[in-house]
Amino acid sequence: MKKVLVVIALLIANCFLIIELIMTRHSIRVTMIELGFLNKKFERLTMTNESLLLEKAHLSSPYRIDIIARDQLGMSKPDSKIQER
Amino acid sequence: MRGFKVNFRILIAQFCCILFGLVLVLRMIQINFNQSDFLVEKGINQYGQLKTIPTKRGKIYDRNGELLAISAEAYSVFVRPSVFKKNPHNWNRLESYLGQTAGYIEKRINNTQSDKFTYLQPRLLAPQTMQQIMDLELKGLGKELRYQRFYPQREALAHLIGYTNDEHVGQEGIELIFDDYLSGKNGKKKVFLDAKGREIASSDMIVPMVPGKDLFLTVDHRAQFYSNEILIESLKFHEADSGSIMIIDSGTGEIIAMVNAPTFNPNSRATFEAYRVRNRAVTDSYEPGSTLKPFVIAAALENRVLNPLSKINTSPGLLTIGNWKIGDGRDHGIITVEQILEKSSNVGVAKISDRLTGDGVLGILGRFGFGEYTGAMLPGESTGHFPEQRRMNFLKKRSLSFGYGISVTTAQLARAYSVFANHGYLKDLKITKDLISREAAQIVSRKTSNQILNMLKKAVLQGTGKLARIDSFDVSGKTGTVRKAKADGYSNEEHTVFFAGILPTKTTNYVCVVVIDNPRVNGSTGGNVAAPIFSKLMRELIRTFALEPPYNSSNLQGEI
Repeated sequence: MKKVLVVIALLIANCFLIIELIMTRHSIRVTMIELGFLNKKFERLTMTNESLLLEKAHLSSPYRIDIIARDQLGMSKPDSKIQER
Repeated sequence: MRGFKVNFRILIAQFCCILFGLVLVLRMIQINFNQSDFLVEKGINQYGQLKTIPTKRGKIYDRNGELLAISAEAYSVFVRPSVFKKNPHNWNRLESYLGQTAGYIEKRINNTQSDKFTYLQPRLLAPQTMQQIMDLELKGLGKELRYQRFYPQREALAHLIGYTNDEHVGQEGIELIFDDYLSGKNGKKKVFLDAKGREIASSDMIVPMVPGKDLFLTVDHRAQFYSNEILIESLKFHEADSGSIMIIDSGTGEIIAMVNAPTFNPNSRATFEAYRVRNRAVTDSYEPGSTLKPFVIAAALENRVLNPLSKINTSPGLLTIGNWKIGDGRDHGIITVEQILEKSSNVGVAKISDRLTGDGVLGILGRFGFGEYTGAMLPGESTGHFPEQRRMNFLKKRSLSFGYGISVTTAQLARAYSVFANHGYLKDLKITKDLISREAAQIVSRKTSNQILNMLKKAVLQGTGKLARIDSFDVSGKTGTVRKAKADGYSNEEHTVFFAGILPTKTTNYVCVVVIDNPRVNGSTGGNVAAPIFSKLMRELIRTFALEPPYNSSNLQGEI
């Protein structure tokens, strides 16, 4: 009788382990999927960051500032003659 | 007897079962120990996928962290003509977003032979522009995501930075020489996907990913911008063919600015013509003319055959060299070595070279870096033409003394002049801060270097370089005007003009070389074309960088 009970207990424990293994594997897959989403989000944010860096560089470029200063604000450089003698 | 037969059959059956079980166990052992690697790999190949782990090309910054090159998302716009034609409203707004003239879309669609997708120009648009276009909600219009290398500083840094092709591989300039450093390497790994295509597991990297690294250059984008603007303006004013400007920090050898004209826009392939793309400051070499005189005089001072106040008779202001006569334009009479440089006397410097051997002249020019690479390691760099020692004779030595018979690049000239700003030390040029260059080498003594510097100062104050003067700064420099060589001799109409100048400041000394090729109007000499460009540019930098003169304006900073 004792032996039968031991066998049954071992079988039940085995079942729990199997269920635990399956659940662990499932949670790993779920985590991997979440990681995939986060990686994609990271890539999108990186792209956005680089677009913003590019926009910042474009906005602050001396070329653009020079055009705005001359054409829109009517400014000129202190010595605006091309050649001074 | 019957009982025995039944028992025997049971025994056989049991034996077979046991044998079968044993075979299964042995097979299981064989699979797990002998064939496991093969079978695991086979399983992975069946259910896994090879995924490329992309790496981004590194960015390029100037010395202050200003962005010079970046890979960013860009979009192409395409239309399906049969659908797009049906809704012609808002086409004018679309044309303005594309930067095209009115009527472009109608022409583009009408020129399409079939109903295939047609791309609109420009092929690559910024995300913000794309969003504006999509907000128009035009039927038959679509977008495609691509990556593009952008250069926000446009023409100002075109020759230095270079550009990449559509596959993001460097083709010219910094993009080319640092291509491996910037591009990195894509990685590869095996991933397992579920039924919805989502990644659920992955193995180790099969090919490790090497990320592209960012690069910091020594140039200043503001110095580049002003150099570019002033050069282009000057080329227009003088109707010149081309020009180059180079500014270096004499103490460190760092290149602060390097521009050429004509130039190109690296963001627009339409401007990529060979004559625009060439980095003339390092690829093109010229006979330097009078800008070579300080080096010959330095040789004479260093070898103690003369001192700055030694007198040379330049009368009658004419000298015969072989079949040629060279002249000073006027008879300066008996003048000192200082005055020879100040007045840029060809006769005077030729007579100075008479006191040196051919080896002596060539030796000193070689030590100043002529005939060798500058250390900047830019693609296409030329070493110029350096005369051969065995072909040197008395006549060649004389013409070499005033800068004919040798050709040098703008970069070599800037590097050589930095010796006088550096108390006699020659440094390699640097384009990135991380590059380790050779130790500075002493070319001439501090005394000789300072003597030449004083002469160059007088050349600006009283001599041919007057238009290079800047208030409150002791500018030193030398002009040069060279007749261009043609197939049948030297031209009387076409010249290349130079000014090599040194601006001393409290923090460091800047060397700036201006080269203008074939100015046609409003001046035709180094003194009235190149020197004013130097002055105008240096004044911009003084204002922009808030530069101050050294404490004692007769002393130079920049100790090694």
